[in-house]
Amino acid sequence: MKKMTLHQLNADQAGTVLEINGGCGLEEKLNNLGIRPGKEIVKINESFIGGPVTVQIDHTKVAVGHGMAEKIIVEVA
Amino acid sequence: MNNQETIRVALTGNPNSGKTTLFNAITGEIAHVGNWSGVTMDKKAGEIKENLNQGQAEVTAVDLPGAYSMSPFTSEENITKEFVKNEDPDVIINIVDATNLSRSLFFTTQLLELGIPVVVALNKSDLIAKKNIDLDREELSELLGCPVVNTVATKNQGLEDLVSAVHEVKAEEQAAPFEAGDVDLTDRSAVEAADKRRFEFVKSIIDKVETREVESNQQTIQDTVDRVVAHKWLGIPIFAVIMWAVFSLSQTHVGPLFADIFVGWIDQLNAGVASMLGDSVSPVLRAILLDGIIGGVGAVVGFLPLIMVLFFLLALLEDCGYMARVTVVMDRFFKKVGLSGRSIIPMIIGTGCAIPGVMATRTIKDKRQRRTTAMLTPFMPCGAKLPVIALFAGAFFNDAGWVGTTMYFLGIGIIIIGALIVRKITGDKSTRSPFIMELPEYRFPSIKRATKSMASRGKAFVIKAGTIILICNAAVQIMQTFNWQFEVVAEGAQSTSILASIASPFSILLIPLGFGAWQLAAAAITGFIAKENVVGTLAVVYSITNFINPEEFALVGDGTNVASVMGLTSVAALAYLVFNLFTPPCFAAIGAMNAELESKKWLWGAIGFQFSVGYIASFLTYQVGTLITTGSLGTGFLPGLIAVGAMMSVIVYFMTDEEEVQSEATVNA
Repeated sequence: MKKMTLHQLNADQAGTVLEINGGCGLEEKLNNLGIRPGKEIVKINESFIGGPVTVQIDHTKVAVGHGMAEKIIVEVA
Repeated sequence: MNNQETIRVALTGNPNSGKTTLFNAITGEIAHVGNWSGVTMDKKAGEIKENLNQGQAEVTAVDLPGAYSMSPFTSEENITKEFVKNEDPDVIINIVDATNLSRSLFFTTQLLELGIPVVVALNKSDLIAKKNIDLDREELSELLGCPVVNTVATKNQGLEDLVSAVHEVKAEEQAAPFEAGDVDLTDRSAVEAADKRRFEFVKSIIDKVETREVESNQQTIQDTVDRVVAHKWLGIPIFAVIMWAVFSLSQTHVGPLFADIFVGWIDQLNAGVASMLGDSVSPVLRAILLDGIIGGVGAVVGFLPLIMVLFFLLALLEDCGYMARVTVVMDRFFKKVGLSGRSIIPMIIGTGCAIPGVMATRTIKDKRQRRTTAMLTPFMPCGAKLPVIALFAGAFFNDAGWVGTTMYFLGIGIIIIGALIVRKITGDKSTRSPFIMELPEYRFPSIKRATKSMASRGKAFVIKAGTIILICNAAVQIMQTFNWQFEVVAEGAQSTSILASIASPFSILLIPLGFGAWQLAAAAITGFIAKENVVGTLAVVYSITNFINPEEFALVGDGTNVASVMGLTSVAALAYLVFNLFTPPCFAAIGAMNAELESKKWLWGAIGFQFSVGYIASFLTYQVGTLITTGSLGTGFLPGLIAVGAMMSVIVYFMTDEEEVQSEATVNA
């Protein structure tokens, strides 16, 4: 088991969300879109250097800003 | 409740679950829809169609912006929350994306707690089978304690069932399957704990009703497409190529084919009216009717096909899900200049019309970002500016597709520079609003939906042409025909007309830009009423009956002719185009800016800024262009430079908000 940020995941790599180090608003917004501790998340790709990271969660794709992606800690098997 | 009373139904659900599509399907309205989150910004009401209602009490449906939960994050989610909490609708229709139950039901359980009867519409239910998902609808209905109806809003399926379910439950009291109890909303851990319990509950429902064959992390064609169009390096070039293709198609290939037909009709109408009037009618009336109204409005309407084709293509791009990716691709740039990828949504909407574009800035939470986006959105060339682009591309540049594409990228460039200037002046002390956006699935774009979208935008264009532009052109014709003594101006003495005397002082200001003729100044002025007027007014003041040659299948087949009448060099023509596109938008858009900026100082600052930017961009285009083509600077370089300098200082003065004076001082220090 390895801990890393969502941003550090490779493309196509799956992980489990461990925690979100953000403010309340940020966490709630992520929760609403299904990103919350315990959920499996797959990184699809990232755009441009410092651009948003696209992830697959539940059955949808969500683009998450670069800064946010660094606050989401995931665990990789 | 009395059966004869009108009942009110609120349409709620997650963004992009198809609320507006369903609303359009049950009411027959044509509100704008798009395959991405956050298209609907305001509530919109409509009566449900008679044939769905089966003679029951009348139903008013209210379409609300999408929301993920009752504790909202963006302000358009607030509209939804306020409406269902305070306006007391009789029934709530909760539109749920059937392919994404696990996320949607969180909001559903919150709605069920309100006590208002809820009907769940399992929308996009046709996709369930396609994705090998098995859903037990009856079990779901039982677990939630409310009717659950399968619908496919895009194909008008399940609408009768939905409406009859509404009538069944309208007088009932809704019981909640899950109660959060009294949660102290200021206590973060309590809210989190309550949310967690709710998620657990939703998960338990999903486990009972849903079985999926396809695992979510399996790579699909969808992912492959995303890897290409949202690619690190290729994303932006691909966007550029797509926009260029859209322009070439609408302006040089498909658009003109239809345009010729239109122009043929207008010519026939003109000839018909001319023969009806005969020679006995006063020449003044003839001039107003033929040159002013038919000529002026006809010139604008002649561009309608080009615009319709463009709208159609943009609607296809929106519908297939590509536009949502553009926000991801562009986020990086916008962040660099103090905005976020969210800012591009208003700007893309602004390519249709700046007014809804400016209104769409409401999704941006950060005040400074919102204001900046609202004042910069009108720099995106809107539908009304297209005839101007098409006219100049045709008359001076042989219909080159690059003219339109360049104007869009110039718009984006100005927006980026503008955002930098605003950030410099106001100081970047705001917290960065995080970017997060759901990406809709790609789907095959529907010709029908794109046609509808095109028709509704085209209709607005025609209505404008038939009202405000018609009046303006008649007024312009009258002002051009008479002098201040209300005598008809003599042939060759046009410069004594009312119009010329009003526009002349302004035209002096335009000399450094290369087009100091009163006719061009007059067209730019009427452009502030509506940008389509620029073409109409030019047609009237230069008495060019139509800009399109029907024989040669080309827009402005006699391009050189039009060009010589105006007496402009290509460089000056480009400068004039730049001036019209990037000076303040029409009055209606300024009204929308006023509403979103929420500050008179920002509003005047924005208008001043837009005027200055347009002037400066036009000045540079003309002077630099002339320097390149002829080797020497254009006329009026020095006074122009002084004017540009003066404008720069005005920008700085206006943009300094009282509260932000301090931060400016620190920036300068």
